[in-house]
Order: sequence, then C-alpha cells, then structure tokens
Amino acid sequence: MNTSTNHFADLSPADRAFAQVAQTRLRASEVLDYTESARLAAARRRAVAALEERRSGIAAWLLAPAALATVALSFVLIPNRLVSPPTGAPAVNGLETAALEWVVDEAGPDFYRDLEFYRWLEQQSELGRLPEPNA
Amino acid sequence: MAEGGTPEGLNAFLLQAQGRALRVAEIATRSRDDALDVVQDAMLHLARSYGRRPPGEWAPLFHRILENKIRDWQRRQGVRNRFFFWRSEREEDEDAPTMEERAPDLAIPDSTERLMQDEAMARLKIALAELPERQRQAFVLRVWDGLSTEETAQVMGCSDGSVKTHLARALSNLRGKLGDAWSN
Repeated sequence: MNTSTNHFADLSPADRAFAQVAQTRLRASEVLDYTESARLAAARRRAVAALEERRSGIAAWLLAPAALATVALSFVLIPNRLVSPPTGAPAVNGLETAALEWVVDEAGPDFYRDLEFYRWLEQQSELGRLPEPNA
Repeated sequence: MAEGGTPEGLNAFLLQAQGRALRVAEIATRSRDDALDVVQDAMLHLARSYGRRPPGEWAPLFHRILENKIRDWQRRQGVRNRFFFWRSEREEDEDAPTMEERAPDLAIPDSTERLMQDEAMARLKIALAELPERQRQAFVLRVWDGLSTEETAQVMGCSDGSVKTHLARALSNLRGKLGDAWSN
C-alpha cells in the first residue's frame, strides 16, 4: 500500500490533491463498530476453519496412499520372511554355539590359542609360586 | 518456492483487510448488511480457493474476489429490481421524487453518520457509488488501496493504459460532482 505523493505522480496537480484528500478520508472511514467487528470476526473464523479443513483434507489425501503403500509392502515382504528361511545360513546348534563363544568373548581368539599356558599360569598363581621371568 | 499460507497468516491478513473491504462493498451495495454478506463470501472464497497460496498473493486475489462478489450481488439485485419495477410500473404516479430528491437515500443507512463524520465524506461515498463500475474499481484500487498502476491492471484484468484512462475519468467525474472546494 502506497501513501507517498510519488504514488500519484502521474496525475495532474488538481487530481493529485483531490486523490490525496480522498485517500485520507476513505482510510479514516475503515474503523468498524461492534456489530461489524463481531460479524466479520465470525466470517474470519469460518474462513480460517475452511482453510484448516482443506489442509487436513490434503494431509489425509497424502496419508492414504502412504498407508496403502506400507500395507502393500508389508504383504510382499513379511510372508517371504516367514515362509522361506534364508538359504545358506549355518545351522545353529548347542555345540556350534559353544564353539563360537570365543569369537564374541572380549579376550579375543589369541587368548584361546595359548589356553594351556594360561591354565598353567593360573595353577601357579593359586599355589603362590610364580616363576621368575628369566627362570 | 514461496511458502503456502497458514490459518494464522490468513486470519491476520483478513483482519487487516476487512475494514476497507467492508467499506468498498458498502459503497457498491449501499447496504451494510449486504456488504457484510459480500465480504463474508469473499473471505470464504479466498480461504477455500487460494488459502494455500503464498500470503503475498492474497491481497490482489482478495480484491478480485471482492469485486466479483460485488458484481454477482449487483446482478442478482438487477434481476430483483427488474421484477419489482415491472410490478410497480403501473402504480407509479406523477409525484414520484426526482433523481435529485432521491439522492440522500443513496447514502449508506445507519452507518453514514457514524462513519463519515462529515458531509464531505458522505458526498464522496455517494459520488463513488454512482461511478461506472470500472471507474469505481480503478479509483478504489489506485487511490484507496494505494496499488500501483501495474497492480491495479493485474487485479482489473486490463492494461496499464486502461487503468490510467478509467482513473482519469473517475477523478474527473468525482471532482465534477463534488466540486474543487471538496478537497480543500
């Protein structure tokens, strides 16, 4: 909204003076009374509600295909997993699980390579006689 | 890409635009109640059809919608008036008031005294109401709303040259009716 005198620069001086006075008076007339304010507030509420309704309607339109796609994908993937077990995977039994324990142990595989030595070391420490390093 | 409108943004825009919209509709319809209905319809139309547009586009769209609603109202009134004219034509007597005698009735009832506060304002409203539609539009958009010639042309759906012509004629008409002393 422009209120500067430049806004009416293309008018003749008489028209410009008239337009400026008219603009001031017309804008002063925009004040609303209680009845007008109340009715326009109600109209605004209806307009805003219409926009919210429209936005939620659009959201529903977007959600519906997304939900449908998720369901369709579930139908394709879940039965495949349930019906056909993965091929080539090693069968897990008690023995093999025990054999794999060292892999997940914090000590790591090197510890188990010298297992005999560590057992002997433990026995020695229990007996209280640890050998000298150079003995 | 500009962000779309939000309900809060729309409410703020309508709050700022409602006063002028009501007065413009009031001048065109010459009835406050009808003007309130027209503005309400325009608000709803803007929200439903263009509420998701960027807020920067709302002002020219609202102007255009309001003008279309006013035109629809005038069209409906035209049909109604033709019907009543046909009914009362034979009852018309020779003492019927002249155009000049009826002129005070053109003033907007009940809100004129309060809103216009002076005779000059009331006379301007009457003179505006009597302008041809395109001249009134050009005057309202360029002078009252303060839109540029280009923006006015966009809202009115015509060329810049047409806007200048309509505005020049509107100003000439108004000054002729109100007199040059009006703006002093």
